[in-house]
Amino acid sequence: MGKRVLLIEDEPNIIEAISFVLSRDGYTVHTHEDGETAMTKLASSQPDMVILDVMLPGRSGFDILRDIRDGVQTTDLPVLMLTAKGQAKDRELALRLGANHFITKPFSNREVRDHVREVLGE
Amino acid sequence: MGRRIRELRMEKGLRQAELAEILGISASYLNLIEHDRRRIGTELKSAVAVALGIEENALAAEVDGPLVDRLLSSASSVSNAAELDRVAEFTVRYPGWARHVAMQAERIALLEGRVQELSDRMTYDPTLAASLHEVISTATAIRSTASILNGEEPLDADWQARFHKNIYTDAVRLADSSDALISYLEAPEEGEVANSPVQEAEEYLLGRGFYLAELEDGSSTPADLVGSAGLSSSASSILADFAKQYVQDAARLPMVAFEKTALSGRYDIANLVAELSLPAVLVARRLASLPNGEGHPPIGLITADAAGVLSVSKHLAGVVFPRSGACPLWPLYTSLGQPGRAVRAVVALPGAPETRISCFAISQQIAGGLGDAPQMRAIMLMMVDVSPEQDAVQQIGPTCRICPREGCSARREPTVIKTVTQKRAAL
Repeated sequence: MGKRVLLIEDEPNIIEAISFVLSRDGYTVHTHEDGETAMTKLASSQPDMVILDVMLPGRSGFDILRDIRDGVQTTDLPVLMLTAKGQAKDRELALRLGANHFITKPFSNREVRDHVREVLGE
Repeated sequence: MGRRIRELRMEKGLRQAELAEILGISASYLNLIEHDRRRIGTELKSAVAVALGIEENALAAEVDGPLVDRLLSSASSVSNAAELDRVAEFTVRYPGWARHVAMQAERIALLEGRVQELSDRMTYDPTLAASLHEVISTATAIRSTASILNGEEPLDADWQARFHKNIYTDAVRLADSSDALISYLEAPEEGEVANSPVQEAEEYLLGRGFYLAELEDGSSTPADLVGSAGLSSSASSILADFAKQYVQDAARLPMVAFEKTALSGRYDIANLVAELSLPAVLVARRLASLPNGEGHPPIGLITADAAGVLSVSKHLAGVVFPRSGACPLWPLYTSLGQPGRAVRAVVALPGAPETRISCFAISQQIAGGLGDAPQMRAIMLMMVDVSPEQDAVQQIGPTCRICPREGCSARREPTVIKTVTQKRAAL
């Protein structure tokens, strides 16, 4: 079984496309669409990396990022944030809260795959 | 002319005795002239004009107080205070230009507000942020899916079909969400500058005199009214709320009977509330909706929340009530400090000292309860006071920045125009 990636994103077809690309690259991909219960999913899936959208139903990606950094078990968990182009304040906040990196929508599959490879190795 | 001489004298900061001495007449004679009890001869009129430093023909004209206030409030770029002292003279000598300058200044302020609103929108408008997120996320999904289909690695037929379907559904969503976003950002017609939604709704209601006959007789519903008004979506929402309240008020206090009651009660809200045993806010709204052209006096009704922000209001003609920065001495704001208790006052503005405005204000809690912050709303009914009784008049101002009143404990900022004391010191 490959390294585990948890994708927290509410857009179903983004989930399907990114899951397909990363799975084909050998990673085990878990997905979750709701911000409110994302931390529960994180605890159960124990990923090696998280890809986290900013705008989620229930709780924002920033709140989830804070919880990840505050958690003893997850404080160093690599997090890649997905932000919207043009929202400079989102990017600044993401880095300030401890995101390892961010990519802006609309992104290419290659960008996602390259970042994941960089963090988890091929 | 006498009143005009008095206004100009007071503007210059001159006491009656001082001007009389300059003119070589007694103070009592000048007093008679100022109260139009003596005619003024040609020679004396010239002397008055010279003493006051104005053109002779400026003495004959009435000063448009509200226009003066509008020009003063726009005078942020005028650094020479002496020019500000001559605003009244400017309105008399060049009334057309004065109105044009006032209108242009207001248009500039509206445009600047609009620019600020639009630049804030991206950052602070949650609806816009959500709409943009929808558009961008859908575009991202299409790009990712198309990239897989267009990739070099082969795909089995099931995945191909699945991804083709995803692209199709996302394309439809993208078209719909783009359309919704464009509608939300709908720009006004070229050449027009959009008012705020509240102002847009107010303009519509003002055009109807705030009297909606079709809702009175039940021949139309609020939805019909809003549908036929042709307002923007935000203004329509505001108009819909107003219309629903209007229908409720009309059911409780039908206009046909109320007109007669209002006339017999001399439009005194306190008398009407006692006679009808109905809430003051309801009676106030009905008074403000009395139909024009039926002999009823002009009546204004200002509505504000606890922050002093105006909602749909019927402004009294000739009374400049700013949407922000209004004088805190208006009874409207006093009433917010004592919910449920009526505040009555007869007020006068510096621009029209002879015009007395009778005000009745009351605030009440409209929402919120235990554990929630109370939501307050204040209303203020306004009518020109023509009663023979001379009640004490409360002096209020237009807005601190252009208010000449001295020693006001409520002043928020210095005034740009000279007060009487400053004028005297300069003489």
